[in-house]
Amino acid sequence: MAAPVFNTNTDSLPVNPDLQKERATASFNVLELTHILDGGAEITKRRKELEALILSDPAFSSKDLLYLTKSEQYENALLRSVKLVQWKDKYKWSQEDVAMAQQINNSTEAITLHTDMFIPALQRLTSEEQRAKWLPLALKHNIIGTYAQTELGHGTNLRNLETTATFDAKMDEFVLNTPKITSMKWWPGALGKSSTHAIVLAQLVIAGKHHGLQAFIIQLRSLEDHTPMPGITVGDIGPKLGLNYVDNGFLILKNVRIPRENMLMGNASVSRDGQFKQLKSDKTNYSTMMYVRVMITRWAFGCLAGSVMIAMRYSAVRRQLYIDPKAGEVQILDYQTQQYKLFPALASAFAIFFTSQKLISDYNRELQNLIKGDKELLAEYHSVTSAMKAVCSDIMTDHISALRRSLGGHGYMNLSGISTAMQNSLSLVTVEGENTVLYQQTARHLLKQVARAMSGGTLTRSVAFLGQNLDSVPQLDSSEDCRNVHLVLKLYQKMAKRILVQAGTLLQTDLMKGLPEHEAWNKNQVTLVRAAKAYSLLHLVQCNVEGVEGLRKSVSPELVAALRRLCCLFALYYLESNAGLFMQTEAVSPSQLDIVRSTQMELLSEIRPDAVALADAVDMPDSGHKSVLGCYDGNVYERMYAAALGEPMNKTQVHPSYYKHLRGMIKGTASKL
Amino acid sequence: MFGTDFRPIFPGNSYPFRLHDSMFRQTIQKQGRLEQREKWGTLAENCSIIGTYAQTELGHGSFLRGLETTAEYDVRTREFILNSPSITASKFWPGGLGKTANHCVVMARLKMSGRDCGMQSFIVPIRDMETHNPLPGVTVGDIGPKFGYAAMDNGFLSLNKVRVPRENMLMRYSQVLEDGTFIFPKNDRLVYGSMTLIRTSIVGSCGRALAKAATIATRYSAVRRQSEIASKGGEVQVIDFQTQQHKLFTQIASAYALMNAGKFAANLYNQVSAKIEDGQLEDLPVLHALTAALKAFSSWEMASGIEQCRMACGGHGYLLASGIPQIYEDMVPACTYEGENTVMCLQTARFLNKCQEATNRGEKLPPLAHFLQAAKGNRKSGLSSSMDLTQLVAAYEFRAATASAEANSRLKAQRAEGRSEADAWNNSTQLLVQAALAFSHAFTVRAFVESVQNANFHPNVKSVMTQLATLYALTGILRYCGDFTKGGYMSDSQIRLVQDRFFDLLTALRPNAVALVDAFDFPDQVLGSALGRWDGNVYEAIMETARKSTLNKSQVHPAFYKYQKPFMDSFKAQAKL
Repeated sequence: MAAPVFNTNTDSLPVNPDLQKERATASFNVLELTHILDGGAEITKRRKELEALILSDPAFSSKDLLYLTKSEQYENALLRSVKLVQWKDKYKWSQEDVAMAQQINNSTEAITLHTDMFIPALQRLTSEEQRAKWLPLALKHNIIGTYAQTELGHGTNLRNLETTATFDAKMDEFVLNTPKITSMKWWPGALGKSSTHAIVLAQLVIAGKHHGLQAFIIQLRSLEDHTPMPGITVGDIGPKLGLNYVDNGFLILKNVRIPRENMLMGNASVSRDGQFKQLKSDKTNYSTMMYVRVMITRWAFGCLAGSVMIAMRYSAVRRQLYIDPKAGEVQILDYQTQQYKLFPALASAFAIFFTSQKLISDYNRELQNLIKGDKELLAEYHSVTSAMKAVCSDIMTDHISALRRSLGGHGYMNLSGISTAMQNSLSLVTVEGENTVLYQQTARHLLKQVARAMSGGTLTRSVAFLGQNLDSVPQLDSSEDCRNVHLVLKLYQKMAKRILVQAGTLLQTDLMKGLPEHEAWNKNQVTLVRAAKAYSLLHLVQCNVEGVEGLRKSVSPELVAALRRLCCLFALYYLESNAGLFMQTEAVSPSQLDIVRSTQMELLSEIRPDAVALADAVDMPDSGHKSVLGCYDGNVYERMYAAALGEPMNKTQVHPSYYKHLRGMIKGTASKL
Repeated sequence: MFGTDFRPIFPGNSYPFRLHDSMFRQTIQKQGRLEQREKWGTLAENCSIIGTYAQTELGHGSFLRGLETTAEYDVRTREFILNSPSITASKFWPGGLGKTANHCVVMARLKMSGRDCGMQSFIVPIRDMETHNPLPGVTVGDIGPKFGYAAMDNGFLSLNKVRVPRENMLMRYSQVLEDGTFIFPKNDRLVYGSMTLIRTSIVGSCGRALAKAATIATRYSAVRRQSEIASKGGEVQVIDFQTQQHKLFTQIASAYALMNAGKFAANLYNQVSAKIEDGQLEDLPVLHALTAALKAFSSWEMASGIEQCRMACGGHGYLLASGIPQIYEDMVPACTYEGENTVMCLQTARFLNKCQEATNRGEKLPPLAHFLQAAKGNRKSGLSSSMDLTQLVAAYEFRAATASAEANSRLKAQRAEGRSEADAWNNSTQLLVQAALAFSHAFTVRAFVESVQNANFHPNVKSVMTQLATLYALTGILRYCGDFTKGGYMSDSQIRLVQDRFFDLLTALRPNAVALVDAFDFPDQVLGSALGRWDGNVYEAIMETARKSTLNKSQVHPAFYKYQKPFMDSFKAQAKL
């Protein structure tokens, strides 16, 4: 490639003047907000230390990562996994450090299930001897493991998984099989090429009798040369929308024999003579599942906040068209329509943040009771975490996709950072409980609570509003009313209560007509999911309001004011976009909706001066998000140009395919068919 | 009713010659003089030259007048000197520009002895016809990896004082004479004609892209069995779940609606074009307004609809083998190209606003916008349990008229508060965008209803198409129910009727769901999907693509020896110590 025409040394450029101005005019101190998002000044400091270490390593920050093939991406991600473990040992990282390192790396390692699923399962599902045997091997990385549950034909309905483990009493062994094409294990991360072992979920069969799903530990690959063991067919499942650096795998088992001791016997056992015994039902399993769902709300915050930060900075730098024809071109951030794309996304990121924070602190406080199996508490927490996992991932994906489009054509470049963030984050609506299924689980719990409220029973915290009389909540009659988030919250409660009661009534009516329960449920399924979503929105608004109010004493008034504006915008934005719910329940009238709309427009103007500072507070370093549009100094065009020059297709002035295909056509010498 | 007239020959848009066909040759034909058409047009047609069309720059897209590339006339040598003065002036994005094209139509600001003569188009040779190397003064290359469109070498181009002969400016409208005299065009409104045509064709393309995704998701939902409805009743096809029907059937209806709207808009374009040839230009504004927002409406509906279909396929929808990511990646740029959607909506809103003001003055509106007068007076919907299609159309037109009147009154209120025209407009743009979308939605519903009512269908087809059109209309009423109940237009009990009917329709459409997507008749090669195969052997097909994964070339990946083995060995060594 010839020498570049324009300056491409992007390290030597001054900060874009528009961004400088934005930062100078913010009403609050950005660092104060960053500390809140990190969880304290000390944690921010630690994050910066780890960022300096990790992101200075080319395996994590090279600009060429953008151009890798799938196989090269995997190789790089494997290297990242190895480096993170080596650093952890070398620098004696704490659990918190490890989690933070993963966050800095956006979890883009190849082997995450070894620590996230394999080791916890070994701790949880094993007998004492089994733990003593397997755990040290896994902790020392003498074996690399994964967790194989989902099959090609089954994800949601666990009871119908088809893999079998048949006990052979003569040999004292289990024989594992995936009898049909739909039975093969499909999707587990690191199963394709990395793992030497897997915990496989299979139907236990003893002398023709089924004993439900049990977990078995299976060696997949030789510890000498890493080739698959006899009877095992294993490989990568191929290209995906995102996450192509992970070797998600498939696994076919054909008469694979393992000793009886390889069934994990913490909760159930099979004796030498083939007696099956259920020892205890596993409640810790639930708490892990709920914890993963809580962590997904945290990831949803990270993905959305990073994307908002990129979009906000670029919108402050990009100038296009004019508002006043006589004046010059304006920052696109000054357009009301652009603000209406960006600010609700920003407000949603904060709402998800406060919700996630509350879920995490509740979890830590109640963990002991959850493990003990407190039924009330489990049901409540299960309902809340299912709904929040679903609603946060739904909201996040909707906003990220809209944010990508808000960047015009350049948002379609992988250099924008958002297109890749979007592809990777899209998996969150499906993993760890498909969202539509989760909403229904919450709906089931909520309808029971509605019935309980009607019969005057006691209600747990998150559904306490069902027991309140909300009929006399005042109406929204002015912009001041709309800005009173406590009043708006009451209206959300009124709406959610009535929607739930209406859904329950519909279901009840069908049952009274004599419809069997399953038919009545499926007939009202959309209504029930809608009711669970209504409740989910209420819960998000409530966590957001409580989160912001909780900062009042410890945080500067300017920052509280800025966060309140976002909190208010969030509540009104989702009120308007779900106007049907509010009108159907007479919580809001059509003319009041006009006030809701105009208040939102006022809020957009009020948020505008703080917009870049609010996004800056997310504080993701350039080497972490790798977006040329979202760089801190705003020199986006220079970076785009410099990056384009690095494109492998530009290595030669004339691409090899010119000689192969194009030249003959232009010259008229292409062979005539 | 859903004709094949706009079906593209290529299954996707992503191939290097696309702009040679669609823009380079078109521009020469529309903007070249006879002798230019003969010279360049013939070379391009024979593919002796390969061209593209370079308008968008690194710093500018939507605002054409902000483009920075310049062309200065040198009277002495009778040449134009083309220049990219800054980094933001580099042309960026044109398809085929990076590695394929050897010529390019470049849009540049013409300067005649310092005087600004507006945007003009120039044919610029960029690569040597013998060696294909870039010509002196030309820096050209590929812009790098994108969300999709990997098969297209979208390019950048900077010109450093590149000289082209005077004859290389396309001079059908504006002219530069040898002595440097600039002649202004007589009528440049006609230049917009080709933009309108392209936007019209995007509407139908969006419908077809959504139809592909709906085909894949619906066929897969018929094959996939998961969970039970009745306990011990056995696993059911996921298409039997009401929530799944809601996701799929609304998108099937939307695909039919958008394909049909595209056809209606194309017919309209042809009618108006014929009139323009006769010198009648009065329908041009309404056509322009309609196609601008309709392009935005249809591409946004398509993008969210395809995503809904992909997520309806659960985890397997995330595999590239599902085919849906490819459809999404290839078509979602339609929200941005040929006029960014928000900008498009605001162009339409300007027209709607003029209509409101004309109505307030008591003037008559053009036929397509006639219903905007409907906002006047205290109206009540006559919708009853029969869900009469004409009543549904009236409801959408009421909503569009109300939205347009509201945006207009917000604008007037902003002015009355003493804001400048510019600020008053910017403070009203969100409502204006919503009004433009409501206008397009009403057009789409009317087009769907009219085509169902007027087509000469077999009674069985007519019955199912009526169900589908009704479902389409009811979906929007439930989604925007706040708009439809404004001023008491629809009552709570009417909304309840709509809801009941909506759920009944899901059940009624269930037996025909697969037939409705089979009717799109996409060959498997076009869908490119393991999940959407006509024969439904989805698991075998997914497995076949997995086996071809590049990671499976060897049983042990080379990265194992490079990183994983030394890593595990280091732990083994520690254990021995």
